[in-house]
Amino acid sequence: MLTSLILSAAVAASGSSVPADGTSWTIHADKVYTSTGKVHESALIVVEGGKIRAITPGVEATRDALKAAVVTAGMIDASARLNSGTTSVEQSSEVTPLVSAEFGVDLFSPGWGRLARKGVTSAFITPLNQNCIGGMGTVLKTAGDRSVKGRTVEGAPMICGAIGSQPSQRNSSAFGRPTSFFNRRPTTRMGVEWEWRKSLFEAAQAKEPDASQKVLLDALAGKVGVFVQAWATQDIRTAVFLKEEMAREGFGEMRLVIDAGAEAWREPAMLVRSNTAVILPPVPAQGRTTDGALMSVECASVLRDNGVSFALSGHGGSRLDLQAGLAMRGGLTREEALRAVTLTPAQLLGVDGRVGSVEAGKDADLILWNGEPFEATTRPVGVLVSGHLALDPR
Amino acid sequence: MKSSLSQPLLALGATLLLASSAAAAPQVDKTAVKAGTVITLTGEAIPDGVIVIEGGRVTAVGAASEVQIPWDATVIDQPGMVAFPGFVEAHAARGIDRPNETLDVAPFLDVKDSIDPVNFYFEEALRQGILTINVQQGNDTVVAGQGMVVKPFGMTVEQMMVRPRSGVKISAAPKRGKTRATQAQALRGAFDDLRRYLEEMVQRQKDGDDFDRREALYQGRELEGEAAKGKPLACSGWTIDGFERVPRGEVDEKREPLLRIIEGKLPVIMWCATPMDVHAALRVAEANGFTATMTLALAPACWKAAAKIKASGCSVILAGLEDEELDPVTGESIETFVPKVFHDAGIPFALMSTGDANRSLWYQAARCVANGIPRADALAAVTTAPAEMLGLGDRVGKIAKGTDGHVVLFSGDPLDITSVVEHVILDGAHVYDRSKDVRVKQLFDGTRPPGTASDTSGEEDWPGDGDDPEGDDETENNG
Amino acid sequence: MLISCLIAAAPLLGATAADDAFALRASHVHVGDGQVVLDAFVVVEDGVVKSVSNNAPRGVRVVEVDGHIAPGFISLRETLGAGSENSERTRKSTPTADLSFAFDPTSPSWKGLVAEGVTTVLLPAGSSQIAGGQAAIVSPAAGEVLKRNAVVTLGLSRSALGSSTAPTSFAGLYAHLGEQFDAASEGSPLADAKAGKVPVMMRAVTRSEVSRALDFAAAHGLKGAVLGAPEADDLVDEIKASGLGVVFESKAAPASSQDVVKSALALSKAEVPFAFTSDAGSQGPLGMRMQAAACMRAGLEAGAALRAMTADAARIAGVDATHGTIATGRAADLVVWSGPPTDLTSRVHSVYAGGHLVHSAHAHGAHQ
Repeated sequence: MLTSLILSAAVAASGSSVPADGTSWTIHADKVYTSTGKVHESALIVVEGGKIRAITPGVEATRDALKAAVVTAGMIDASARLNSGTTSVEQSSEVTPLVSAEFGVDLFSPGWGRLARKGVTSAFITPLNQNCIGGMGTVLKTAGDRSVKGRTVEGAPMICGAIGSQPSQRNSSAFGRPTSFFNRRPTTRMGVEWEWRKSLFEAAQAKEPDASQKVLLDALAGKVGVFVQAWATQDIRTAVFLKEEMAREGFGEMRLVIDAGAEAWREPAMLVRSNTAVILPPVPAQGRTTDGALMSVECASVLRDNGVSFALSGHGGSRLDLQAGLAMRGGLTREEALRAVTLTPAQLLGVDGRVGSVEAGKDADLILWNGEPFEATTRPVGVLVSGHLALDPR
Repeated sequence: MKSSLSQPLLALGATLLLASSAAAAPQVDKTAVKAGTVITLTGEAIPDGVIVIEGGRVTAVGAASEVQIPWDATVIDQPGMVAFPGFVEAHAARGIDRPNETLDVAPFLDVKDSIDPVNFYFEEALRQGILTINVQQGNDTVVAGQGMVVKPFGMTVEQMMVRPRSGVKISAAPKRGKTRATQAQALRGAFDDLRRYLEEMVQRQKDGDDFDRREALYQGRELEGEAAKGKPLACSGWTIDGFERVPRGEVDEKREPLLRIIEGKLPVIMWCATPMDVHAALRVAEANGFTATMTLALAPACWKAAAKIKASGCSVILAGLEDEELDPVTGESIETFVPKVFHDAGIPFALMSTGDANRSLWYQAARCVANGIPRADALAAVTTAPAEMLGLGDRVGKIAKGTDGHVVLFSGDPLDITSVVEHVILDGAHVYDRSKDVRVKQLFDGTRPPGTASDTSGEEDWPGDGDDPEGDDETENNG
Repeated sequence: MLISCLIAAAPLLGATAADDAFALRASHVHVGDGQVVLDAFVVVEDGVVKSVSNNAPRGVRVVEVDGHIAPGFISLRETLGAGSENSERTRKSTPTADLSFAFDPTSPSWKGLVAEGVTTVLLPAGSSQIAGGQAAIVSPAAGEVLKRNAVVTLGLSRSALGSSTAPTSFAGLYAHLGEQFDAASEGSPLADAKAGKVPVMMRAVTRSEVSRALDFAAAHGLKGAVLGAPEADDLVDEIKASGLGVVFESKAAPASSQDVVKSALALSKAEVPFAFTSDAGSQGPLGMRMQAAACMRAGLEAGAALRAMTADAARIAGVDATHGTIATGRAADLVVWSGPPTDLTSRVHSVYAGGHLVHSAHAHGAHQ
């Protein structure tokens, strides 16, 4: 009672809860899942200037509060793939570590609004995976500021690429005269691996590494994370073996994250031994997915049982909350599914200082649900991104 | 109608679903299903309920304390599960060879000639608890063939059959290669052609020309009994004077289904892709007197025609839950949850499943609940509403005395995301047990069926390439 | 009398009799900056305007004109007559290329354009190049190059990317351009652009392309304009903050020009200078006038529309000291119209370029 009195006074003192810039709110929820394991009942969340100012459990809703059955942190899509397609990847070379994904982003695309309204508040954007090593990824908020800089969430730098068949798809050998720079290696899976190994070796052995090679050296040292798309078992193995080979050669210990690791569930021990994290792609309609990989519905549970760090992703089109629900169908608890779309991706991307959980001091990225999250019978009815209302619950 | 499940089940798709003992399924006269909760869809859910099925029909349903279980009944007791009536698929163009013919107007075709009992669709339907399916031809047509209501179990089409000639698929949306104008013309033409033919028949009767009779005999049709009688044309759209002179059996079999359509004896499912198509559909139906027996199958954009549909009294089948439009001026996205529009307008609607193993009819109903449709109405859209549309409202879609003996046992509430179908009882026989479903095993935990290619169940975890490759500095034949 | 008629009827490029002074008297003189002087005399001497006033000049031959006088229109992109000569397709960047060499004054296509009142055009590089070269200001009316190396052309839209030639991505484009700018030596065009001595014109079409272009300009201190930007109304604040103008690509067909109309109105309200292209090759000689008329139909004031085609265009191209307005010291590029110059029903009577009569529609308009 006293708490709510003090709180109401605080709220009143800080001015009305809906000031001009639209980034300050009071929200009341019957339940708040913080993603840290703590659950608050009947809690009031005060948002000010786009940040979570305070969370007070056990109080009644104030008159002008936004009301929800459940509040969780905004979801983070660790592989949103909302780039501008082929203009996001510099294909004149297969290895382009200096390209930044922020140049391949179209903030005016309606896809951002869709993501935000479905509860995804931050998205990791990478260059299209047509190159072996495509460039540096970036974490962007899905709504709010109108410039890329304004939406960027600074995190752990990540260099992105792919292993498998995708990088070799456009290339062909030159019969007679080469007609374009696509007449080049790699044209096969092993060629892709060769490009990777060659770039890493050359960087490690260069007497005067150039700018691109400096990035690769940082990747070898683990200062820059390596975000590799590898759908099938053979490709995941290749990625892990590369890491282990580089370590054996004395070049350093890479921090490896497998993106779209559909078959990661097959060899979890290998992932644990090499300290590799996994981003899971959306569950396919009938089991089979890209590169013939079979993604079992229980794959998230298998990774959890074996202690592999994993996050879920929606690839832009698929609803991330549905993926969390399907992960529950496969055996995760609701808390574990929530972590896999909030705190864990935040940690893997190095942005957990600002996002990923409902805690005072973090950005006000929140989802208001009309029931328990991730059920097919519920959906987000309100979404805040940096305190801006991307989906209005009123 | 009792289905005959007495034949031994052979090693085709259906084996995957049954007990590995592969024994002949016994003729089951009496079954009792006991479940922790029984959802009948006729009233409140029954805790600790019992369903008694005799001769393939439900003879009793109620609380365990109130229902007498026959001493010779096979009892399936699952106190942790939820019993539910089978889902009803209002219309699907799957499980057949190709969905459409190239012929524009072909109502004389019948899907019974095209249904493949081992098609994956039926296996998947059973797995998802969809027990009554109206198989129709696809949407790429003008007037397509006749459909059939089946259950997804049986080795032959006859065993699967629930109701033959259940309706005809007509499309108001242009067939591939046609424009809106030529589609409308073809549709009108089909019925104008019928009308002209019937008028000619009457004229021939008057002239004493027995051409039609000879044609019928030549085509091998009977002209005895009912077929020898003539009846006045019972079409509310137009009429033909003197049609009662013509013995019904003499009507050419290619056109006879159209005659039944306009007399309201053969239901129509009309496909519409845009709101404009709805108008065209209603016009054709009105002109030819079959509005009362027509159901509209709608693409998501057609929600805009809801008012017109309400006025017509037609029910709808929704092929898609969400419609998104970009405002041409502001560029903003306008999203509409389509079933809500029809629900709020009071139009009976049914939902359709997709090919996605994890988003079947239960998922479609759950999304309705998420978007504000009451649970009872959402469940009705996948059970009782389509059952009514198929004229099987007193047989399927609910559990009550007299309905077909279909029960689906879920591991939890059917709309929960973690619930799965554990058992299916069809016409009183236990035809599906999830623990023995090899395909589900593969989907869920990735187990490959034994003996299939690349079965890796015996391999150990790959140790990595710590060792140098063996040998061969003296390789002779390097390319 | 007879001699004057001959002079009045002199064809294109008559250099002989034109250095003597003369004055034009008209009921309306549109200065170009918004002012309209009624019943005014424009005195021309040595190819420049000497004065604009209501007082009759003494000792000068006066040509009475039945209509309005306005500055010649300035189009900030016209490649008519240049064919494909403004795009060097083998290299993505040729920053020192001088586009004035692509100008063919004898091409017959210019006549139609001049007959619609366009006296001065900017000839830029094509949009398929990243740093295509230095645009020239040319006068098809006078048949000469007015200013070489006037504007640095940059292509920052999707057209500048290759599908099987480098760069294929925007990241690659900006990396390449950044390198070009960093490597630019003192006195080279890109260095001059960075120093603010020469304006740039950056082609960018989608909103994200425009946004990136504005960021690039801010990072390198560039002045000038964005070419394209049909959805500029979504980025008004950002464009205003950048200090850049916008050059809209004219569309003759009303249906295609709607985006530009909205954006022009928004920029006018925000007092951001904008201009138009003529692109007569695809839009016909009337393209620019039609685009301006479409904007006026939607509410743009006639004065603002005229400014976009004259004074503001000159300012964006950096030639406002000599062109774009009828004022003392400016070049005598004058067009005599049968009515207000922005009115689509007005016709061109005659065109003067650098004081010479270079076009006359018919003899009726000019009478002694």
